[in-house]
Amino acid sequence: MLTNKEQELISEIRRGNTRAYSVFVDQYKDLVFTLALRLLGNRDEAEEAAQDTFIKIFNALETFKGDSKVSTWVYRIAYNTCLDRIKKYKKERLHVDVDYIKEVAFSELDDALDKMMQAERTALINACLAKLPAEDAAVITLFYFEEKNLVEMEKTLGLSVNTIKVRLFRARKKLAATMEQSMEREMLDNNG
Amino acid sequence: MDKQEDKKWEEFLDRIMGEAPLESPSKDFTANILQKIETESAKAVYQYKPLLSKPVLVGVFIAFAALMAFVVLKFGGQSTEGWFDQLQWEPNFQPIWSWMEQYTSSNVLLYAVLLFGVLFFVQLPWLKKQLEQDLILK
Repeated sequence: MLTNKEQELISEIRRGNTRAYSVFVDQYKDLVFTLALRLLGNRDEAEEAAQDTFIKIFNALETFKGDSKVSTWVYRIAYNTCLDRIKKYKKERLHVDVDYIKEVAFSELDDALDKMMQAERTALINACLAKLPAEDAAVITLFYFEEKNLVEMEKTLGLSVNTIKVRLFRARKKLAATMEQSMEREMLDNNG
Repeated sequence: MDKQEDKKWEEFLDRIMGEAPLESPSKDFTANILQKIETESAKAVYQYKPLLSKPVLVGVFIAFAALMAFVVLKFGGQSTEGWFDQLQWEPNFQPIWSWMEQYTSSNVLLYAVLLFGVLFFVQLPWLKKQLEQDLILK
């Protein structure tokens, strides 16, 4: 599962080479921070959670057997650290109930997105991801981080492939609904 | 789940997520982590480890209690047997403390000694805490 380069880097870290660990952190920090930000919805908290994640990884590296991809292992620790934080502070974000979401016409959404400037679009997407419940944001983010590999996602989330598929479907609908609501609100603000 | 519709949604999400860039943490993120790791390793060096671990202490206590029980049962069970009853329990302090008989102290001295004692026992836990913190910081 591990490439030679990864194996060398991990051996160096295990020997206590902190410089090697800084290379490891630099390699994964953006991915871990983005995942934490989408789960927690707050930069300060995400930074703390990402730091906790890397400290846990450093302490657990001795026991990493290499039976999954390093990235999958890193995401799993990051995901669990964020979930623990959510449980600890009992924070629940906007709850979008999929049963009450009206059917969103994706072609309309697509057109509306086309009309927006790139920067506006990115800001809107980030804002909507931040509004999703943590588990939905996680499932969508990890789907793309793991390059749509559901088997790797199974290891990260500890859920079966079928459950992940269902969650992904619901998360997509929630994201689309949140985007539509945000765009409607923006249009109302612009017009009135 | 309509497969056709699902595919369209997936394509839509591909487009959205393709435009959602990765976020970066603060500039000193990596340096902060390395500093924390080094602080934690330093803490581990100064971490208090008792000379005898808890299980060993419990074992010693049980062995001691068993030995005492054995001694009492074996040698001190009956009132006429064993060395336990031969002990003289009436201590005579007369010769040791006779010089104190004429001594009187003022109330002020008594209060001073009492206060000193109280402050001493208050300072003990406080000083212990301070010293431990200093060790951790170093």
